[in-house]
Order: sequence, then structure tokens, then C-alpha cells
Amino acid sequence: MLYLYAIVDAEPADSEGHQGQQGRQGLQSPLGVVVPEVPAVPDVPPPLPLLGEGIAGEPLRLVHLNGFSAVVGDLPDRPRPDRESLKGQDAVARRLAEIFQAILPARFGEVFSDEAALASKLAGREREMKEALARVRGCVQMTLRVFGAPEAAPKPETEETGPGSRYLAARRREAERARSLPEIEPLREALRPLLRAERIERADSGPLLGTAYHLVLRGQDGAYREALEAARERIGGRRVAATGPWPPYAFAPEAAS
Amino acid sequence: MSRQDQIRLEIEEIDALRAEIERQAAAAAPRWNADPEEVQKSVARLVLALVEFLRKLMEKQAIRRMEAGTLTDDEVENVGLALMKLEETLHDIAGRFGLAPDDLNLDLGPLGRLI
Repeated sequence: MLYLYAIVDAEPADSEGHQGQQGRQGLQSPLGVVVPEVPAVPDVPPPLPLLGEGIAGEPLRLVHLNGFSAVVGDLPDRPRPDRESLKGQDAVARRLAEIFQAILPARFGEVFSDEAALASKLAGREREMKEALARVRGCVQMTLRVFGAPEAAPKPETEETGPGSRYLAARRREAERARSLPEIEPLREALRPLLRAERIERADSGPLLGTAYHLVLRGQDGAYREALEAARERIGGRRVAATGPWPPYAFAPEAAS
Repeated sequence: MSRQDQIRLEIEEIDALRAEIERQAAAAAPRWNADPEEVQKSVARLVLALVEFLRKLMEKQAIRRMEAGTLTDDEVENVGLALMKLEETLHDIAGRFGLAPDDLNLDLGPLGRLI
């Protein structure tokens, strides 16, 4: 069976040596800021031996799809989710992230019967994959876990009239709150110049307030940590733990996992 | 950050990870239970979960349209009221089968949660 490790941007350069469009234009980040293009780095797929081995020592290979490629290995069975396999898959993702400018790591345990099944799973989602690859191009992920007391939810505005309108407005506020961490706004403000994209998951309960996943350009994780240390005291005694740089696990669409 | 703060953060991180693992383990797929009452409850849970799923979809669409300004104030009020009453009705029926609102969010294994 085919084991999927990652979706990568491994389109060969055209006859004039141009790369695909993704790396050439500014991107609209989720923060609403148009960020400049990543400095051009050759994105020609490496010779196959450089892809190395998978979690069971199997040779990795590229499956070319419509506008992007998949890094796969051939395994006899679905791997068990034990410590060794999980660490092995992370090591493969990190190695691939060194090779390719844009990588979307797959979730653990993604198997397909053959290449046709893989192509079928991803058919019709080319645009989504290309956009995701463009977003992570040249970037690594930093993960911020935030602990401490939550900020009270803002009081609802009173301009809604009937109960139906109030109900919908409340649902809208809940959805917005689930994707936000106003408690660390001063910290985000300090980090913003370094961010290419951001995804926030608010936790429902417990000391963990939520997690912010940040995409920063490769080589800027040091600057990210410095900015974080400088602004750490501005969030009302709440605590943050930063880890990374990681391959952009949190920015890989579900289709790749 | 002091060494003590660092250790405290690491402990909190491990606690958060443990809580997440426990939540995932608790949501493991239930085994088949041949008790007739349990069968009724299982079927009710499945049907109600599907209706709740559709209701959530409609709710998201309504919010999108409300944000886009393509609904009049009267339409927002009517749609909101309908969704609210549908939610109340679903929770009421679920309660009769001993189901909590959270039970209507089915775990689909590798596909994740339904809602």
C-alpha cells in the first residue's frame, strides 16, 4: 500500500527556468496583510536518492499530481501509531521540509491502495492545495501555547431586536471567539511583523487557554523568540510556551491528511 | 524567563496534552450493545446527530449571509428564531433518550468529529 508523507510543491521549472506562480506573487495572509514574495530559491525537485527513507526504511518517491506532488513510500501494512513510528514520521517531515520550499505534512496513518486512489482523493482540490502550498512556501511553524485566566467575553451589543436576531448574533460571537485569543493581543502585536499567517485554536476549558500557530520565514525563528521574550510580560501574567520551528503541520489542509 | 517559570510551563503543557489524550480516549467508538433500550438510544443518537449536523450547516450559512448583508432584519429574526427553536426541540428529544447535547456530535474515527 501507498503511505502518504507530504504534499510538496515539486513542479519542474519551465523551459525558461521560471518557477510556478505561487512563489512569485504577494500573498494575502489571514491577517489581512499582503506579504511580499519569498526570496526566490530554486525549487527544482531533488534527485530521488535525496528523498531518503520512510518510517520503515522504505525508499521514498514522488507521485506527480495535477500541479503538485505527493511524497509516498510503499509499505506492506498501515503503521502502528507507536512512539518510534510517530518520531520517524516527524523526522521524515523535517527532512522533506529541508528539501522542499513548500511542504504540507500529512497526518499520521494516511494510506492508499495505489496511486490512482491517492489521485482520486485529491481530485478537485488542486486549487486548495496550491493555495496552501503558496501560504507555507519558505516558512516554518512556531507554536505558542497560552496558559492562564481567560478574559471575560465582551458584552453583547444591544442593537439586535428580537430573540432570533440575538440568537444568531450570539452564535456569531461564539464562532469568532473560538478563533481568537484576545488575552495575548499585545504579544501578537509584537510578533505581527514576523508573521506570514496565523491560526488560532481556543481551548474549551482547563489551564490551557489556547494555541496560536504562526508561520514565519525560515531563519526568523530566532527573531520570533526574541520578540516573544520582549513582550512576554505584557499579557497580564499569563504564560506562553513557544516551540518550533516545526514543519507547517497546522497549515496543511485536511485533504492532505 | 526563570528556570522555575520554565518548569511550571512544561508541567502545564504536559497536563494540557494529557487532558487532550484523555478526551480523545473517552470519545473512542462505543462497542455494540445488544440491550434493546440501548439500540433505541443508539438509533436516536444517530438520527438526532444528523439533524443537528444539518441545523449547524444552516446556522453557518445564515451567519455568513447575515455578515454579507444579504438578509433583511426580518429575515435574520425569522431564521434565528427557527434555528433556536429547532435546537431546543432537538435537545428536548435528546434528553428523553438520556442524551446530552455533546452526544450529538458523533466521533467518526479518522474523519474526526461530525460537527
